[in-house]
Parts: sequence; C-alpha cells; structure tokens
Amino acid sequence: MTAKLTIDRTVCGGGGLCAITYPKLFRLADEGHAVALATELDDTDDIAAVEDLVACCPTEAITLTSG
Amino acid sequence: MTSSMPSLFTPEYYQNQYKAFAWLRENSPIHEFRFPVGDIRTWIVSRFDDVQAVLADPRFSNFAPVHGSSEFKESGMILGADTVVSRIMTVLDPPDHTRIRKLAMGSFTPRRTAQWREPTERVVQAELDRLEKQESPDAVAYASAIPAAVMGEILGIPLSQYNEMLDAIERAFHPDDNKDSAQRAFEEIADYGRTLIIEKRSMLGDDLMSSFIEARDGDERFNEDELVAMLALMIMAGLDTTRNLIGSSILALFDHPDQRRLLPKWPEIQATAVEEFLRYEGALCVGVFRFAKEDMDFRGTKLPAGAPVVAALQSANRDPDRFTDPDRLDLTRSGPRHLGLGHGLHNCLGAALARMEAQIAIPAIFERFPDLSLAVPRDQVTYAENWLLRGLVSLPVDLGASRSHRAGG
Repeated sequence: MTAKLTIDRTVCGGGGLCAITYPKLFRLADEGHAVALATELDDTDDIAAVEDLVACCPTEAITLTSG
Repeated sequence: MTSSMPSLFTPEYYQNQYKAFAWLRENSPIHEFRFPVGDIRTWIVSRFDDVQAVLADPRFSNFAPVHGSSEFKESGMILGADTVVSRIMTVLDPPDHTRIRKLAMGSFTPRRTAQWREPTERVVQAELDRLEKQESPDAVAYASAIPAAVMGEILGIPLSQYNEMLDAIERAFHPDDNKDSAQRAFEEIADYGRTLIIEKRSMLGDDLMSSFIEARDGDERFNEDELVAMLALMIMAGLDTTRNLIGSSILALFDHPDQRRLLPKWPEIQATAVEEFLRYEGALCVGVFRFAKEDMDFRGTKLPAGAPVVAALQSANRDPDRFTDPDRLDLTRSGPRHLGLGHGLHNCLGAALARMEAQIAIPAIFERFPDLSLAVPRDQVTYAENWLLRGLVSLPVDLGASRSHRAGG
C-alpha cells in the first residue's frame, strides 16, 4: 500500500503537534507552518502514524490519499 | 543595574505578572525558584523562543505521576491526583494522548465548529438581553454564560451547574496550601461529569457527548474513567478559558480607546483582532507543568530528571524580541504567531471554537451598548489568584443606552 501526504499551508496554524509526534515526516518551517519531509509513503508504520495525525491536527491541514 | 527580582505566584504577582515576566526575560530567562505551593524546586521559562522550545520538546512530559520529581508528587500539586482528572488528555503522553485526541478532535475542527456559529450568535443575543436587565451588570457574568451555553449545546446537555463548576475550577487552581481543597474541587468536577453521563445515556442524540459515549473505534474506544475525564476536561477547558478571553478582551478595549474605535470595521479586522486578543491577554497565563523526563541540558541550563518547568505563555506573548511594542493592543497586528493557544502536542483542541466564540461575543457587547464603560475605578479591577489561568474576578460596567432603545426612540 502506498499513500500520498500533503499539508495545506494556507490552513496550517503552526501548532506543531505533527512535528513533535512524528519528526520523521514533519517539521516546522522557519515561517511557522508544517512541512512534510516525504510525500510518497509506503511504510505501513509511517502511514498509520500519519493517519493518526490527520485525525489530531486542529486545522485539518494534513491529508493522506491512497495510491 | 537591574531591579530586584519580583516575587512569583504571590498576591502582587497575580495582579500584574508582566512586571515579573519582563524582569525574568531580561535577567534570568530560565529561572530556578521555589513554587510556593508545596515549596517545590521549579524552573520558569519566559522568553518566546524558550517557551516554544519547551512546548515542542519531547523530552518533557505533562504526566506528573510518572515523570514529576518526588518533591512535586508529594506536594499534592498533581492535577486531580487520586481522581479521574489525573488522566485528562492534557497531561497524557502518546500513545494514550493520540488515541484520545483522535476521538475528540473531529468535533472541534474549523469545519465542525462552523455549525455552532448560529447557535452561538443566538446565545450571545440572549445573554445581552439578560445583561441589560441586571441592576449591576457584570461583563464577566456575560463572558461566563456564553461558553457555558455553547458547550451545553455542543455536548447536548444543558450545563445548568456551570457556576458551581466555575467555582470548583477556581478552587482547583487556587494557589493555597490546602491541597485537599483542590482535590475535592477536581472530584466535584468529575462527579458532575459522571452525573451528566448517566443522564445522557438514556437520551443519546447527535451531539458530542453521545458521540463520546458511543465512541467505537476498534480497541481505541474510551473506557468509563476516560469518558468521565473527557467530560471533566470539556467542563474545565471549555468554560473558564473562553470566559477569561472574552472578559479580558472587553477590558483591553476599555484600556485602548483607539482600538475600540476600530470595532465598526469588525468584519475586516476580525481575523487579526481575535489573534491579538489571544496574544495580548490569553486565557492561560502559564501552561500546565512540564517535567523533564531525564537529566538534560535545556538550552544551556542543566535540568535534573523530574524537574517541574513552567512555560510562561503570556510572557512569551509579550516578548519584545518577538513582538513590536508588545504591551500595546493592536487589532490589526499581522506579525508572527502567538502562544495564546499553546504549542506542540497539547496545543488547544478547542482553538477553532474559542476563536469563534470570541469573534462573536466581544464585538457584540459594544455593538449593543455603544456607550459601554467601566463602572468602577480602573484600579479596582482585579484578576483571580489562580496559578494557571488569567481571568478577571468581575468587570462591573455601565451599559449606557442600548442600541435597541435608541432605535426605538
């Protein structure tokens, strides 16, 4: 299974929950918003972690689409 | 030459923390002191960059029962110790934190929150009607009633005991040495949560509490104690915080008449204005205690494992290295992000709801009562002595003529 990770910078509030929870794939840019360190995911642990973060993000800025 | 160190968490401090914060940022940005309740060895962090770093650093935990120093654990300062409140989401680490936040977050996203806009507008107008009938109108009573009514609608059950709950929250975070009183207050909040759950079980509907009760997510559902803890958290985090924000913002507008004159342009400025209210006088003066999970070097300061650390959110929000002219309210400020809703793992779950309530409630009172003014001398306005929350005790106001009366002739 593969999945595509995207972050919508226009809604990201820079709260940093993703970066502290899963620094392997997220970090906060100097401007404050989150950036994804990889966008094509195929590791099931990575995908499960991002699914959790999609649900935890307060601004719904993280999207994970299959394929 | 520097002035002497102002006292922390004393009656004088509670009325004006900013004096102490300015000294700390300048002279001792990661400052060791003894927290007066329990006389606990504690560090307070005051500069923006350092506060943000504490909140984003996974080497800290909020969970005192495991990570707090023995001194801290023995002090009785553990939030809701020996009650279910000791396991509210606010203090949990992953993976428990993730499991519970996932179940709750869906109800508080900006999209879901938008459905509460119309009910909030209705609540605000009803509370303005009520305010108008008071002999001694108090803007803090107005500010208290709004989140109680809105949370009641969201949870799907009227929070008729909200005044008792606000009183219990005050006792829970009151900085005195009577730890039994604080624990009793947490137990009262938990008991109220239990009562609401029992009432609700017989009439499940399309509301947040029903969804918590019915939450089924494989093995990730709430157990009974977590359900009670969640309700207790909704009561604690949903009532007092928004009350404080609305009350403090009304006072800030009295103190800044030039900014008050911008209110007629509210639709244009509301986005930056609400962020500025959150920065200028956020509801939490400091964050809940963080604890060093291991011996560590934190930005040049050695912290022993278990060290309790206070992240001074409102000090960060007034740091002149981060914000130009930080003690000035500027509703059109468009600068960098503030920490009024926290940061990192525990950033505010209800942020979108708080923003929406503030966006509606703050301008509405000035629109209804254009001549609204303070009814007591400014120096009689006091803040509650609460180590966590920054909130006015009361805000007596003169309403002047209401707009509806003027319109009626």
